[in-house]
Amino acid sequence: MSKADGSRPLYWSDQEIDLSFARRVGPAAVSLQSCIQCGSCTAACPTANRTAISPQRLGRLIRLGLKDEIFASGSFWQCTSCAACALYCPRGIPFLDIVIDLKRYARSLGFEPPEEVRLLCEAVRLHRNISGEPNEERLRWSTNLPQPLADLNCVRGVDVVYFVGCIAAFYPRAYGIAQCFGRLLSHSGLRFTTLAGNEWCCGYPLFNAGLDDEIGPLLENNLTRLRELGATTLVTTCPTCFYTWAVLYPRYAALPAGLRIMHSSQLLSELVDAGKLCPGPLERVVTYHDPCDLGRKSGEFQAPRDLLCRVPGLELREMANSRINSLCCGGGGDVKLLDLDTSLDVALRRVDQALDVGADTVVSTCQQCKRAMVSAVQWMRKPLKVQDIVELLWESVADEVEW
Amino acid sequence: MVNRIDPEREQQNGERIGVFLCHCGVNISSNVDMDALAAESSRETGVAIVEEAPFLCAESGQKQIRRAIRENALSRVVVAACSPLMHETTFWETCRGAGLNPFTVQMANIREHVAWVTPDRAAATAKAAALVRGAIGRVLLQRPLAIRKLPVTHRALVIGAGIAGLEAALRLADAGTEVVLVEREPSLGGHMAMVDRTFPTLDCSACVLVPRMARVANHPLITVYTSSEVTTVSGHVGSFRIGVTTRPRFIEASRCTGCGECVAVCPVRDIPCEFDQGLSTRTGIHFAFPQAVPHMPVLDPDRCQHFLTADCSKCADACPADAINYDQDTSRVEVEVGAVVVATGYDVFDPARAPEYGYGRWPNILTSLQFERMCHPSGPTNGRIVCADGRVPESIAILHCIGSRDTRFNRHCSSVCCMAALKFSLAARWQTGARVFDFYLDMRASDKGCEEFYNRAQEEGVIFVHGKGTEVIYRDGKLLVKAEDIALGRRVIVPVDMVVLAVAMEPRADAPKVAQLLGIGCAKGGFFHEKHLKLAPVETVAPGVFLAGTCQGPKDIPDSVAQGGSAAAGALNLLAFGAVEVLSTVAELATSQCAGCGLCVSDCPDSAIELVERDGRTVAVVKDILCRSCGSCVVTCPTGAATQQGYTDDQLMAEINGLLVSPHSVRSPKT
Repeated sequence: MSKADGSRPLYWSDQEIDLSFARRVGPAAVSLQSCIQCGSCTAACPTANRTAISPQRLGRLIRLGLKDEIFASGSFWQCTSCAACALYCPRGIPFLDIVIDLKRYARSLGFEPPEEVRLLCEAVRLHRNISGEPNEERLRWSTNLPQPLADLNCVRGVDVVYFVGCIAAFYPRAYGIAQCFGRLLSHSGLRFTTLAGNEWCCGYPLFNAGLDDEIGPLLENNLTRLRELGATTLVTTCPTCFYTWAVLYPRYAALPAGLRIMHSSQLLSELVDAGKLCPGPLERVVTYHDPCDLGRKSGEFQAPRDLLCRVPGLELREMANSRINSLCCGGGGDVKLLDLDTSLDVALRRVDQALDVGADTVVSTCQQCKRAMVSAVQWMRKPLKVQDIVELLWESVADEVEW
Repeated sequence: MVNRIDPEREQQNGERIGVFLCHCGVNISSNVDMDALAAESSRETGVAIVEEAPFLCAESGQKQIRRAIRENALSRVVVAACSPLMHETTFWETCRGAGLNPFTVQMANIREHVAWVTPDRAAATAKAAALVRGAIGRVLLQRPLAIRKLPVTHRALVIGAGIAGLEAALRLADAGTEVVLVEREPSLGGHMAMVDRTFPTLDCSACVLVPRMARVANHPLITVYTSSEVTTVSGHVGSFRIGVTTRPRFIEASRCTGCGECVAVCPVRDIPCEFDQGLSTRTGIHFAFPQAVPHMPVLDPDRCQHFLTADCSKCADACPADAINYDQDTSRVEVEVGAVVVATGYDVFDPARAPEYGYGRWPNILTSLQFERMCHPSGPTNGRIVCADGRVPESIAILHCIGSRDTRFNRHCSSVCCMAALKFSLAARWQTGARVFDFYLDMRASDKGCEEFYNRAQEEGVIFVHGKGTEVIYRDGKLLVKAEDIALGRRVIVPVDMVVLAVAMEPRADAPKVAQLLGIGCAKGGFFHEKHLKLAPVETVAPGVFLAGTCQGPKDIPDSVAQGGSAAAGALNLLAFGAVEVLSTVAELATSQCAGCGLCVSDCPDSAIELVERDGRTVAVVKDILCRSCGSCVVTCPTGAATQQGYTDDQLMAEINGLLVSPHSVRSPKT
């Protein structure tokens, strides 16, 4: 009979419960002693209905140090990192931090992560990008544009650097995001460049897999390359890269003084306000999906909405869950990699919300949200368009432009 | 003394009745056809007008009644609305304002007795009409009665000198009222004197309590009787006569200096100490506790060698003040007071009644009050938390709800145990570093600062287990607590060195006796019944008797103090007014019909009737001032000489008649 067997009573002797376990997991886990077992984390978690151990129960097991049960389940790998658990916790317990700490601690004890995660991390270590392709091919997305974009390859003295991110660089379904953003910037007359083959993965996949101690070289390379170009603004289309630059990097290193880190929606909003971009009319009913990394975790809710409201004829409707209460798309963490069904299950719920408000388009500011929701829409066979905000804006601007 | 209200309006014939129908929002009108009721009522003899209002009790409704009385020269009023318990006095005052005597107003309860008890609209309307008809029939025969003003004795009695009683006594005395404070134990202080620290601030209980005890004892307006009980109560609001019986201390209070020489020489030293909840022993002659007030020992005659074998007088020999008096006897005094504050406190649940917890069977299982004493610096272990064998416990379990929220014992929540348990868990963590398990059902931390206190205990590493500790067994030197960890969904067995049972607060065992003595009631759980939970929380059904502290229900120190103050305010209200207004619905004895049998004299619970010689006959007469309108004499009197004003036979028969007669709508046109 295993220790995790629920049929016999647990005997809380010193051998069975381990009250210093939480401290070994990390400082965030110590705060679990304030847990009142209300279950808010479980109720909020988009994947709790498909995991062996609910967040609330996981917290209780950590508090009591019942490690065999925790590590046997592996439930903590099925986290989309959406941080809804931490948002709704009435005791302010940073549950997502605990899950990430737990992944790190599990690895330190020799518990291997799921194979897919291991391979992903391996790719980042060896190739500096998540797809494992030659890193110097990072500008592949820009090769088939009708009119090539200027200055893309590490041009010194250009103020704005576009940090493209691994997905838009290597995954054809996301090329459009980088293409549209590049063309929008170019059209607005703003000079920008990229780090091209010198751009390395931001490091979030390692951080999320509990390997934050391996972020160092990635961070150092990206910062050094940025400094070499002397840029003052770094802009991303990926909200996870944005979160990593804006929130995580400052925990590990000092960023160049005066460096502005912006998300594409923020920069485009400024350009429209300044009259550098003039959106043309689009008769569309749009709902906006807040990506967890940009919204809940970085605090930017307004810029994308402002931008959408500048498109004439566009009607913006809010879904049942929006802004800080946004519902995960299912594409976060490594869940899409590990368990397609769970990811799809979450995405279906989000797409349902978009359909409920009668939207013809759901717009996000994240390539991963787009991929997850596109899968759900295809599965449901619903006439709902899924776009990144730069794609929609380009559509609105491009009607007026000859390319 | 007797104050008739507007007697010139009194008319015997040609009464003009106003009937007022209240909708009570939709409370009444949703179930009663108000139009039909108005039509039916307007056909009754003597009814001058019928009016309706959404809320008669509101300012607008009262104005409407007063205007109608003046404009229609009404002499009688029927209000069909809610229970008279709720608003009878409201409408009396309303009609008084328009010049009517309150006793010419009659209420018909068409809310609690009609609208709220049936969804059948037709039946409800018929019943409402019958009740209104009865009220009309009765009000026609009602006579204006006087409102009596009785004098008030400017002195108050406080029963019980725990924190609630002390607060009430000080409030009263500081306002210039003489106070008689009666305490059963030999010292002031009550349960709070046993407590180490008070939640959620963790300040020292004695530091705030002892100075109050001293202030009470030294207050020029407070007379303290310790080792005493109230044994008789007679009289009425404004003028109670209270008998106080004092057990002998066998100490001459005037001589004793509190030096303690007697205690030092007493040869009997093995008596379980009540104040330490049996965790220590005391001597035969002893101080109740070190800070006892009055600071005077008390001799326990049941264990004293002098009383048992008559060959010991060590204490008398040792006393430098010659204060020991073996011949002291029970004494009794009678005091007159205008108001009474009852603050008799609570009893602690005996966990031996729930044998599954092993209390009294296994070592190191303590009640909350025992643990309290253990934590107290002047307690049995000088504040050290230790097992019976002197070891410091490495793990402690605290079990909530022992005897509370348990239909076998007490249905109620004892309210303070959750926070007391947190206090214990913090004391245990800080002093011993022990692993502390707190088994709770619901954590009730609703008072100010209490949720934060809960957080603090969590942050100090107390392991909270959602699930009741259900059983304690003993094996291999460990106490094993069985429970379910509901968060885990698993049965658990937790081995510990010490178990603390957070036991219930119960009504005093003699609460029914005290309630009977004072003419107040006990509620379902056994605590004294307040007059109205929300609007009269410290008053009782007995005018002039107020409640304070845990005798009314479990509560913590802040609430007990607040209630002590509130009860004092209630008593002061009465005393400051200087008089009591009472209904003159007293008994009347028709001398011509009285046979002088005296049955009413023996039946009267208020001793308000006496037999006198009048014109050569022995007849009974009523002392108005003592009559509390119970009606016993009316029932007892074999000749029908006794009647109760406001409840005469013809008035009651008229009301019954109105109820039973068929409605106009079905009466034949001829009648």
